[in-house]
Amino acid sequence: MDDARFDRELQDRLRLVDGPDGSTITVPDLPLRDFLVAVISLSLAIVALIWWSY
Amino acid sequence: MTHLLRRGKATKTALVEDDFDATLTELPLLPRERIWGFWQHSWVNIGLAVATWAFLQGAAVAYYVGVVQAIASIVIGYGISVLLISLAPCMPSVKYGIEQFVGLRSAFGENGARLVMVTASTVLAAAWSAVLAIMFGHGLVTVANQLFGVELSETGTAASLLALVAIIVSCLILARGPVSVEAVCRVIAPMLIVILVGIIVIVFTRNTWSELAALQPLGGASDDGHLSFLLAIELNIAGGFAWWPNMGNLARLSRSSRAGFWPNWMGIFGASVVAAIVGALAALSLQIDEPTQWMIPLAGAGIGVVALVIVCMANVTAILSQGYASMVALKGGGGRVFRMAAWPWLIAVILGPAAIMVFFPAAVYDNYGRFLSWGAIVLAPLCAVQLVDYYVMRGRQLHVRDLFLPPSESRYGYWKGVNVVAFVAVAAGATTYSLLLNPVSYEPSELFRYTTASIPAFLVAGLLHYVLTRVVVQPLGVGGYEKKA
Repeated sequence: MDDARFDRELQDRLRLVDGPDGSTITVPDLPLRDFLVAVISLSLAIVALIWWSY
Repeated sequence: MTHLLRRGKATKTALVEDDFDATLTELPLLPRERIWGFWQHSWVNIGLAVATWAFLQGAAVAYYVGVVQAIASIVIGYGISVLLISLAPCMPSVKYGIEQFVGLRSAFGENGARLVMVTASTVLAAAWSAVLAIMFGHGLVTVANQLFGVELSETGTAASLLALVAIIVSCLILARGPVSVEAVCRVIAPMLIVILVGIIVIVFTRNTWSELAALQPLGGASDDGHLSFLLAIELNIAGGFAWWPNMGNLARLSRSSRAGFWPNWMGIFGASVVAAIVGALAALSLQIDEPTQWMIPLAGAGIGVVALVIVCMANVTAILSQGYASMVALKGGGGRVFRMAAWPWLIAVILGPAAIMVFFPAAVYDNYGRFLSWGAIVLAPLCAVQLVDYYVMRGRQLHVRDLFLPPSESRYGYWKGVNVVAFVAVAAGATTYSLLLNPVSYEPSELFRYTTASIPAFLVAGLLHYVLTRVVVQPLGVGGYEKKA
């Protein structure tokens, strides 16, 4: 892609991001519940595996 | 890789500039360009994770521990690093649809992030390509020895020359563009999955669980079982961190944060864990650490040679996947020089060094664990700095326009486009790693048995980035950090 086309596309997209509908370009953050499920599940798995392997 | 995976119906055999595809660039993606839901992202993730390097990973773990601790260490190690990678770089990339090294500009500055990207996309890709090519060479030497009754050395010139052939073939396929890459990968990947299943069936047919659990590590029974277990865990944490340069750009194509987060657990966690465990089982049951030596003892001369040829081909597809992903990253995020560069030049940048490295197998292949630790030395601190910067310092908010402004105008301009503090933090993390686990001798320090090396390196880098940013960067008003009231 040449520089001119890249710059044109970039400016178009940045206008969308900065515009009043910018929130439709970005997606919501990962819910805290998902993070906690991952951390707690992993923690439990680690404890169980350490217990099993010794 | 993302590009090739979404354009399966392309009709031309070379990259075409007039067929605009934002995923090939560093442009922020629009909603319609985010093409993956949970399952699409999961399948791509699984496809990348199930590759021949998992055999090497399993064999490396089997050197230190037996079956039970191998399984435990693989799950624990990959679990820790996949969790961290899923948080950064994946979440910023999926939230804003930005190329992962563009997102990194908020922490390292534009020029700093470009330095990280070019280094990660060239040095690591070249090294991984060399590892896979050497495995290809070893495999074909074994096939030749079996078929023609010769006795070629796996460590000799013939193996290196065959490894060079793998690199040249990869270059030729890559030069034909993404369609040919996809065609090769589509054929070989399912065959490799059949081989994985076959290994599991054969190992469990020949051995009871009790027999497998009683097997000694390849390196012999250790006087210090705890230290061996920690070394195995460290190997797997490093194995997970090795995915850091690629995962953000995959998540970028996801339609939601959940679809960018959980598929990593299906792919680089789930699939890698299964494949590495299969590798460990094969290595321990045969007491052989070289994956190319497993197939004939497991399946017999006939099927074994066929399986070995497939494994060799799978190494080529892995080189193609790795090489293609790196070239797309360079073209998209490497700035004007790489954006305007012809495709053959990018191939030369990635695979040229690999063509030299195959003649020095001791540097990467023969010391796989050390090679992994060389990557983790840098990747664990890099992940930490980005994670702390994005979640703690910026509250998960980036200003997308500033990511693309020149350093003199951007809030992320730092000092001529480089955040020295972030690099100091990475260096401190790398030093911490080196003090805990010598990357040259792979000798652990006394403290390592309580800490591993990647986790302290991660913590030190993250903590130092936080402290130095609060004490130095923020008061100077650079970096776009919100000042505390």
